[in-house]
Amino acid sequence: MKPGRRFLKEAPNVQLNQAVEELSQPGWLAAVRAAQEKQASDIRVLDLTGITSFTDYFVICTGANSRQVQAISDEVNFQLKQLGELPVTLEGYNQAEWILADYSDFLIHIFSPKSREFYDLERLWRGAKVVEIPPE
Amino acid sequence: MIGMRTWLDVADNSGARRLMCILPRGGDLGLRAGLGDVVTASVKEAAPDSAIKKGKVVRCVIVRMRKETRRRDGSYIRFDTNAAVLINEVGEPVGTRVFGPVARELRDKKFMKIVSLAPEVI
Repeated sequence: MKPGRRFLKEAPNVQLNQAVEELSQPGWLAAVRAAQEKQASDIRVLDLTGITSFTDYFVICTGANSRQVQAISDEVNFQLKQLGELPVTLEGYNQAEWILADYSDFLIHIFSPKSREFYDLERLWRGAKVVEIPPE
Repeated sequence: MIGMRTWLDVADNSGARRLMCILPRGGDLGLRAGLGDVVTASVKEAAPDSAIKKGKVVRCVIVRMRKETRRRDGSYIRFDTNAAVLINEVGEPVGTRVFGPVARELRDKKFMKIVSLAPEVI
């Protein structure tokens, strides 16, 4: 057995275990937690597997105003960066009406209340399965 | 390829029906536009009582093109029509729904909002 492995077995590193635990949670869930931290409202996760090919999950949430919308986006990006995930593209940050962060496997849509009603993505993707967000 | 005077179908519910490309963005440096490129266009036909009237000059993104486009894997993608989606000056879609399939090239050109509104991505 390698010395490092023996060390881990004898004295489990709590921080390391926590980091591994965090890594094991899906990226979309980390994004949901980050959005919840910034008091995003009406968070929905849609499972698009089998419906469309360009992504697997949509995370949709609303911020009350442009500053909150940007704050949610910043927090999501920060939290996912800790897990080593960087967005492929980030659209609409300056206007803060509809920020879209593309993480390939999942997309994060952060809307202002007006834009959410206007585009109504849930209605468009009503065939998708709504994923239950597990309690913290 | 899309150039000056190419007629385009509108693939969204913005109210415009047919467009004519005035010039691809980039002036005479970008004489030909492809999938995911932004062009300036003139509205030639519009739905009655829509906010977009005939004669209005708009910006739009090419989502389908009859000329085949080569992909990195060696395949080619070609559609039956030339079609575009209207966007505003900051690149957000004007309509709320996109009709018909759109090309995957839009993802690389940072038009994921249009892709999210489309029913199918090819």
